[in-house]
Amino acid sequence: MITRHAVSFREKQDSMKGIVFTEFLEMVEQKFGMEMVNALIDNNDLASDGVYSAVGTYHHSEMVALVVDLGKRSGITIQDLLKAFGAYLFQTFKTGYPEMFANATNGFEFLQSVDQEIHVEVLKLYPDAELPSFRTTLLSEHVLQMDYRSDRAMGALAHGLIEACGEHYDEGFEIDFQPQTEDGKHVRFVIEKQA
Amino acid sequence: MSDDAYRKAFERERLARKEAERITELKSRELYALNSALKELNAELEQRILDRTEELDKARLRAEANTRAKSEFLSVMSHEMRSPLNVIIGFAELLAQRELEGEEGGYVRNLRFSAIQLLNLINDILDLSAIEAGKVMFDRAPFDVVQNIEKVFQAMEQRAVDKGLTWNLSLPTTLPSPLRGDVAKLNQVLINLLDNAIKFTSRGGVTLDMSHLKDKGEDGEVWVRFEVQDTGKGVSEENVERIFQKFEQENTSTRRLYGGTGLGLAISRHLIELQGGSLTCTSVLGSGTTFEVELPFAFEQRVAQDQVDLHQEEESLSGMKVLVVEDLEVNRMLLRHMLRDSGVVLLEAEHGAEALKVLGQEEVDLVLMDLHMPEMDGIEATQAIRKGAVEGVNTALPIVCLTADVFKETKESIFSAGMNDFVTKPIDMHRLHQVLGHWQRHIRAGRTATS
Repeated sequence: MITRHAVSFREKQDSMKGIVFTEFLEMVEQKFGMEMVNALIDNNDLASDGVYSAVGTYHHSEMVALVVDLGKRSGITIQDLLKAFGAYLFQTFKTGYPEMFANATNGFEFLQSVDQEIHVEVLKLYPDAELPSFRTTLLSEHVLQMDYRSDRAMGALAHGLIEACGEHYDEGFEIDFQPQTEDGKHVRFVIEKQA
Repeated sequence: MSDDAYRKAFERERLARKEAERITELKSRELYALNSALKELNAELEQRILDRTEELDKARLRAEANTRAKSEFLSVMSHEMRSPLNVIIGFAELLAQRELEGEEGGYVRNLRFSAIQLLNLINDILDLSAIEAGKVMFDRAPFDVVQNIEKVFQAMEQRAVDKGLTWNLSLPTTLPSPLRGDVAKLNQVLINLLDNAIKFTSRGGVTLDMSHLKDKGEDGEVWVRFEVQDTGKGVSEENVERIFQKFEQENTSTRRLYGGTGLGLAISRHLIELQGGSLTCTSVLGSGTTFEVELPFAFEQRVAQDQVDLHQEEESLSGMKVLVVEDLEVNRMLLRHMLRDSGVVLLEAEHGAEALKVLGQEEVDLVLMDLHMPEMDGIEATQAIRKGAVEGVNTALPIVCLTADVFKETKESIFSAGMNDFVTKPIDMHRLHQVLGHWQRHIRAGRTATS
């Protein structure tokens, strides 16, 4: 009989994968410098003390605090910051996780595989991970509708990811960003393929 | 940027590395634990498979032992049941020859009919158990297939005519002869098929269409197709395969209306398939059934000359001196009656030892030898004769076995003991005359050669 062993990774409620934090801080370091990274960590009361590892998980509120503070300090809107981060994250996935792209020959196929394949694999490795959902509907050969749903309300991050995906496949995505709820937890993207 | 900033960043990285190492260590331990659990499960499953296999092996051995015991029991029963039946049928036949009148004639016919039915049933069950025990042996004697089929067909004609059915036979012209095969088993199958065809047809007729399949088979092989067509009640499509299952008939009313054991077709198909052939059936409910047998025979050019005496006229047995060695008085009496009009001089002995004594005193042409007897059985007596244990007795004396044991081992053991031929019980009068005639010719030919 298989008995679940005592050593187990039960992820905490409202947790976020460590890679999001490490990549975020790396982007901040690249775009704004090490001083900005230190300032963000020193001026926010973070449970982790700003010590992040890609294999760990951390509370979502830490990410919110970091992004909000960066917005204040840089004068860039939070939406624009998240969108830029999304584009940055896409590059990370491309170099660090080429297997994600193995089965997709174009942008729509890749976007459709996020929920159906990539997140399925992520959940095998991290059964308790709280992942956003991306339901896709192909409206026509050139138009894909994608519904982002997450308590994190980071639709802008998704926007950046989708845009970067269009660039990666060189398909010039025209993206219509349609928030479906006021709290931003449900955003509909209508993506039109140009090429 | 200040050193302090770098120091802080460096410290964070150091801590992050430690945290990552801690998490990795925990993950490895979790993986290790899961892996161990999987290995345990795997070992447990393997053990269960081994246990299960062992159980199954034991069950199989038990079942095989049971089957062997069953076949042995059946072999013994074959002897036990066929011996008294032999007597019943023999006497019924003798009574029938008396041409009794009125009610008594009817009694005798019923007695004989029922006894033969019982014998058929026993034969069917014995055949099937021999097949299931893998004990069926096939003869490869040369015979003329066309002539044989004509005989079988003629023998059954009366029944078809009595029912008002047409009875047609179509024969091939190109079939080589003789072919080697098992004529008795071929006839058993064809009689079964023709018998069924007559039984289940009330209007129209039955046709046996025999053809030479020239394109089939390898060198030295001749394939023949026998097609038995009737215009009878037919079998529904879903039941066509079912009728080949043992103890199955088309439906329960079939047994009530037509009788039979439900074994005939199962046996027939086995007998054909064991010889490399096929037996198939196509039928249209209400308009008729066709059974198709395709069977290979061996053909050798040179046997053609050996068979000159195969169809000779029946030999006169007059003056032939035969010693019957048989412990049961009823059986000896039956043989006396069967040979009464043949001119055979019959001597009798009750067991092997007595037979040797008789042979020491009288010159005989042939011995009919039972197998199971007190004092000295048929095998021992035969071996004694062959070894020249009795002075003045021809060691090549023809010995014909009388046996109710139909299994292959018996056949092998009687021939290896030195017997020349056999007649199965219940004794068929025609077969007995045929065998005696065959050896009479043999003896005469020997005498001519020496003189």
